[in-house]
Amino acid sequence: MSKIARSLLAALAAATLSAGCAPAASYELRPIENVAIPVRDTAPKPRAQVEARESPPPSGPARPYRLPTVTWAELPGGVRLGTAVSRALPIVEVRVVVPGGASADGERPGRAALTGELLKEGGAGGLPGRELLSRIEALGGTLSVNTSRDATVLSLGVTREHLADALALLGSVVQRPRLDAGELNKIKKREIERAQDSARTDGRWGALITLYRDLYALPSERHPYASYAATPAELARITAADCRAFHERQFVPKNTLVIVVGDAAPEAARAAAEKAFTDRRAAEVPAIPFTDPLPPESMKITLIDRPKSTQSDIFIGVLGPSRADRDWAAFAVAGQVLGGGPTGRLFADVREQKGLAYAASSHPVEVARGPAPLLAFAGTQTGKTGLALQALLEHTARLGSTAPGSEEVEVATRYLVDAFAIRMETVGAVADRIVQLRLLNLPDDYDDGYRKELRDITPALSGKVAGEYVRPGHAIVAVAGDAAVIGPMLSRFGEVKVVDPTREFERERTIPADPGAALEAPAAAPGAVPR
Amino acid sequence: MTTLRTSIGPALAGLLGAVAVSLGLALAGPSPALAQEPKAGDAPADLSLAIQRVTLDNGLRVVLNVDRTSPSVAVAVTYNVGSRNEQRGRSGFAHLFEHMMFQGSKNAPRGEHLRLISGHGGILDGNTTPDRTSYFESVPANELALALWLEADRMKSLDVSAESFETQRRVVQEEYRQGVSNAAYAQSAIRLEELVFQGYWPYEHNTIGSMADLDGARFEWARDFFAAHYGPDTAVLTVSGDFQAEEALALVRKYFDGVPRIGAAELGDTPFPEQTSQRTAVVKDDSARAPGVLYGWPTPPMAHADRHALEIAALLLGDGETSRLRQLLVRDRALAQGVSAALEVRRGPGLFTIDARLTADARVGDVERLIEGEIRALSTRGPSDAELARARRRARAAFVFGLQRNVARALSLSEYELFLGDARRINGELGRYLAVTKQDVQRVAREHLGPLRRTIVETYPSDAPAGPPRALKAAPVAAHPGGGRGDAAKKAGAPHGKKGDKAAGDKPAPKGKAGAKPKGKAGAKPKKK
Repeated sequence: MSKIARSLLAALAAATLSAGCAPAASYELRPIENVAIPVRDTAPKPRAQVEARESPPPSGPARPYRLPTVTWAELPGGVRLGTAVSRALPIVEVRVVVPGGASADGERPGRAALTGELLKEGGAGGLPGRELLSRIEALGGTLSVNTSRDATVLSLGVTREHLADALALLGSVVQRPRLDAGELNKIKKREIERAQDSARTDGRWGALITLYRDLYALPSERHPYASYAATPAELARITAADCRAFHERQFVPKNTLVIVVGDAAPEAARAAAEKAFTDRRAAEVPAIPFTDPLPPESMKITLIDRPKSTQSDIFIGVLGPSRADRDWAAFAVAGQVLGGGPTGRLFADVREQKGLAYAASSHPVEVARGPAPLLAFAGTQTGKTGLALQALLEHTARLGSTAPGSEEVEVATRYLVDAFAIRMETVGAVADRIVQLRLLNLPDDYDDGYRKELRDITPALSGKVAGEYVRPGHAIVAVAGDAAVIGPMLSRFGEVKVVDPTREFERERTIPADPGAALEAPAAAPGAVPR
Repeated sequence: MTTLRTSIGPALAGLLGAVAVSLGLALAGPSPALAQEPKAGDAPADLSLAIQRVTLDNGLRVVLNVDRTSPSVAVAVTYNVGSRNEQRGRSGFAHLFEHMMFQGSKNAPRGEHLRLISGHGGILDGNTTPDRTSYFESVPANELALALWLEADRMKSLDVSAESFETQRRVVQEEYRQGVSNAAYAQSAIRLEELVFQGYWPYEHNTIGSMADLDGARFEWARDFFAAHYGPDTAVLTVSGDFQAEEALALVRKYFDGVPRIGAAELGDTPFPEQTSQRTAVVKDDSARAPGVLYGWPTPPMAHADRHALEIAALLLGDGETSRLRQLLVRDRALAQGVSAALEVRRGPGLFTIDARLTADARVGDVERLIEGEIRALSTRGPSDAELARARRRARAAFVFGLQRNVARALSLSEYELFLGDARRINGELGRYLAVTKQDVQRVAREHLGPLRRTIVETYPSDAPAGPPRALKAAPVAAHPGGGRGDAAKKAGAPHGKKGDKAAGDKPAPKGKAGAKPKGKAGAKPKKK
């Protein structure tokens, strides 16, 4: 798994700017006194000459980009196969997609995720887990299983000559898994440990669990999107029988997509897929009931207590339109204006003007059904958490109350439109986009029309749509940090529920609203070690 | 934070991390050599890369790599300066200065660089390592001129304010909190570097620096730093993607020809003190819930021929679900939640690491014995034929998959040009990995991963019962033929000797010196003696 050491050592070694660093929106810029650094070109110049600026070079003729055409076919058992050719490299990426995912967990949060892990490690057909993984890795690839809100997705990339072998192994994993109780117990133990680790060490994990519970809260039932991740207690309840039942219900041919992108002829991919996916069960997957949640009557603040934390993770969430709604493009532009990348308002102000955060951003989350969330985030030092939350709330409120400037909208739309080709530079990214479009029930050529739609978004329209959905007075706020220090700061904005992530998010206490509370902790004494 | 150094996947950690995130490859069509599936014993596949190199009169080295897969292009400017150039007491400054390079230049005042790139559909970033600092943009192919113009502008006329310096100081300190003081096991990684590179200042301190040094950084230093390190003769400019080489070169000349040389002095050689006995440390970590064990060994520089065999050794030990340590510690014994092995390649001495995150009830000593046993086995018996074939295939796949992004190719080519003197050295790299033999792996494990050259940092949750679960008893670690662990140590049941810190020639990490150890965290302590 190699990720641990590299993620630490490399991350620490390669300290980065991360997503750029300066404000782009001129609305926030204040006059500053510049000090010129260059010393090698310092011949005195007339002031007028110093201030004369060159204009940037003009753009060349644009070159269009389209996703490769997807060819669809239905295999004899009912599996749908999509192939797209890209011959730039001798590689192929395969995705096996089973819609449902965590939204199909029912009353057993974590069931889809554990089933996915069991598929990966538990063996299939005549192959025990170790032997199966060994064969997959002997192809040079790594099998990953990602359980999202809307699907289980198995991913495997191999060099082209191994496509048939890769499909054969994936077919076995998906259609003939062992789902053995002993293997599940091992995996469950490990996943419980990981969840316990996250509860202790990962503020974002705790904040997002709370945020999704509250965003998708229903009066008398559990919303399919209410679980961001399973807690240790939820994982502990899951049995092998649960996983088998889940597999039996969801992993049927008519609910399975196989997508092959890369240096492979569609006919060859089809022949290999037909041989690999032989299940002939005709069962249909029962529909998952979705009830749209209502926003809370007032802003709801939850503090996820992480004693001794030196930084707080702040999230604000609101629900926007559904992905299929005609408002979506304008909503996406509004989200980009608020905090998309280095030109977003949050980056420009919270980071670049106020220096309160290293990471400050926002983005809409695409979900297959019902209203989709817009999340805003900043990570800030413990002692200034109140200031950072105030800034996030102010920007969120402004987005909902005032139409963005025309330049802001132009930058946002051009980024969303023109960076598409860059985001699709890898075969894997193309495969993932095809998967995403299917899960969102959007056509394969959707992006062509969507980019045109984005270009037509006006500031007025973006502002109108944001005003409809972005209402901080009904937002969900989740902050993970040291409750002893930041609890009083948060009470400035309303009543604060404090929960303990290491005890299944049990309520510790409630801090009553205190409009007069300070937004930052007193400055540290001279000589104190900064936290 | 960019994921370039970690995004390729589990394979080839060091190569694809510190040195070659991916390789520049002219991929109008697949390389004929790559179309052949290599088998153990086959002649190694090779890569045919389209790389053009030009040096301008002012010393700027230009590398062009045409790849028409996507209508986009990446520009990377890599400067020959990193945290290795920092003076004591100024740790973290190279990275802080990297932030300043986004704060305005003569023709692109504060915010304009980002606005122009984003507003033309581009993505940009920068990062700093011990050995270099890179700035890069990925833009639609028709915006190449814009990216070059902006990079040239800040190379010749950075124009920033004291106010923005103060803001960026705070931003970097938030980055420190996010990545170090608030992140489990991060302080152990820093401690490991301090010990492995003890006495070798360029790598002894981490690029993020210390909170105290960041507090002490002064705006005036930025002027000197820019003048000393940022010029065309200290930089490599790489363009990778969809462009016409002649047109691109004309643009490069148009924008960069007028930037004067700075005549930077080369960093003098600093001798790397040979490690002669094991070093250990214990870190008590507020953020960690379970113990962790982190091993490190110094390895030869990037230019050394053993790099490829060490990469393969890392793959065998810790890459994928079926690697030796993953199978043993995670699947079979359930002693660890995860384990990895990686080689971080640097232009100077590199770093081979093994990192295990334990389950809460696992014993550190048990895990250490198993890890050391696997290394010993690798050095004495080597990998099986099947293991080696698997590792080669995974190396090959990781290599080819890593070729895809323009920006990754641009950064890799820059590093080959800067560190090895010629970006074309990237050609044949895959063949060198595939040519590694069982005997090579045995030899490098024996020569480089022995007990006398290793450092072990154990991490314990700060609220763990007083004293670590496993007593760190002093036990002599004797050298023995083959480099394996000494029998005395084995009998003592202590896989590494505390006395290693006191052995002749090895001094504990400097205390009280600015930048010598991470500040701002009471839990980060060296082992008590």
